[in-house]
Amino acid sequence: MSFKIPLEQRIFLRSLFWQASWNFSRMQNMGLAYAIYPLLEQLYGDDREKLTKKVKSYLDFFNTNPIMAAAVLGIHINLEKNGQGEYGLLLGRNLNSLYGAIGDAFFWNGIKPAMASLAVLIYFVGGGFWSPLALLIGYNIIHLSIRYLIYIQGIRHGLNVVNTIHHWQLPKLKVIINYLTAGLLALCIPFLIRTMIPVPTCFKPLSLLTVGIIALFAWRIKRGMPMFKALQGAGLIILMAMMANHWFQFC
Amino acid sequence: MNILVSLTAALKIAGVGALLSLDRTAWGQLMISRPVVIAPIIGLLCGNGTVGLFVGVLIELLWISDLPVGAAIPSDDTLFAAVASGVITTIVTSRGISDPVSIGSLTFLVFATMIPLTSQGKKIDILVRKYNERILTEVETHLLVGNPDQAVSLHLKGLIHFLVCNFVAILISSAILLLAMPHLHSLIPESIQRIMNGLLIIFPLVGIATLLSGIHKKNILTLFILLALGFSFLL
Repeated sequence: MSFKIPLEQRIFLRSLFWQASWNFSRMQNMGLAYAIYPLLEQLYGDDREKLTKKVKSYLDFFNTNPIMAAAVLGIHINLEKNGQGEYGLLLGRNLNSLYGAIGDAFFWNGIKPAMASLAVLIYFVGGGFWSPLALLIGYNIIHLSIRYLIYIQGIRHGLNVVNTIHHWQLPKLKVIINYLTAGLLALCIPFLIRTMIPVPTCFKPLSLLTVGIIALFAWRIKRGMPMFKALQGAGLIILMAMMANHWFQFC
Repeated sequence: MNILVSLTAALKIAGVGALLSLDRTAWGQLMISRPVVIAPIIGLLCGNGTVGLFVGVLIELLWISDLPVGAAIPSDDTLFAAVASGVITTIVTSRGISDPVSIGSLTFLVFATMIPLTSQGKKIDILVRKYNERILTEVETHLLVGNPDQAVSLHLKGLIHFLVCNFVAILISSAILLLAMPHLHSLIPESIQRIMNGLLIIFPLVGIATLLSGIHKKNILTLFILLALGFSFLL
């Protein structure tokens, strides 16, 4: 008895290799062709010439957020099954930039920093190896469920998946996540100081100094200061504080 | 550390590091390639997961606002984390270092040497992506002769390009650092080592600053300052 993964699941698993041959000229084009190939083979496998032509049509420029690409892939599957593959390719170009913008903002600038901040907080609280586990579990529960859900919705409802994603209000959710991230980072400060500088008598002045350094360099980095320069600047301030403490014995 | 031990350790770091770093672009994006995940894994492999985790946490937030949007290639913090945690834990384990100040100063030394080189990691990433363009020509050749199966499977060749390039980059950098760092570290006087250990705090601080600067909301910094001071005085 042989075990065969259903076609939709097989395509989803292949889509995890979406950016394997990412290149500057056509970006993720091969990723789409590679993922959807089992379906094309099933539909046009008897006619090699048509199959080759179909694969060629999927090799145009393609670039979007690799997670939100699952929705575009689902739509392509839906339209291909309904004999409207060419229509999907035309629409795809517009959908790519839309999903790219939503996905980049939500995942790269929302969920990822939030989960990374949570991991850092857990470490400084004393959670040890729960820190990387929290990042992996927390991020992937959200990432994989959204990725799979939009893929399945794309297959079932085709272009109507746009409404589902719109209904989720991801940009608004991202703003809330950003505020939560700021809260997690703020909560991190007292634990970070206690772990990195074990001088209990100087806790309050050190908190002021630490928050001051972060605020100063967040402001400077936003105005274009390179990270390497920020590290040098922060190092200089900490060094001066250490020297001042050595001479005047504050703590 | 002798050359043979260094090379064996470097091979180990490069093998696992290159495999896990595929998650960054070529496969999955499951965050296995984040410093806080990859560093303790490599640390465990080299004999000290706790030190690996410490290294990962310090650099986790440093480049997090560097986003892979469009054709922009972010700085390679995975490569940095793999090499730094591998080198630090190997030296700590092989020399039996247990003093936190020595571990801290060694970490600072390795970071200070590696940070100016992070642009090289980015260049390697760009090189792989340029090299991947050759696959497109091969694909077209296969399609011309009516061979779509092979044309499509060439996509996975890009995975090998990423793997090989990361392997070579991690191998070379960790081998060099494993040979040089123990000697350099032993030359540093204890008083300077204490200062270096104290300076380690700049990495998470600048990491937090970088993350906050990447959030484009007007009042986010004010909110952070108020909350951070509140928590610091309450907890």
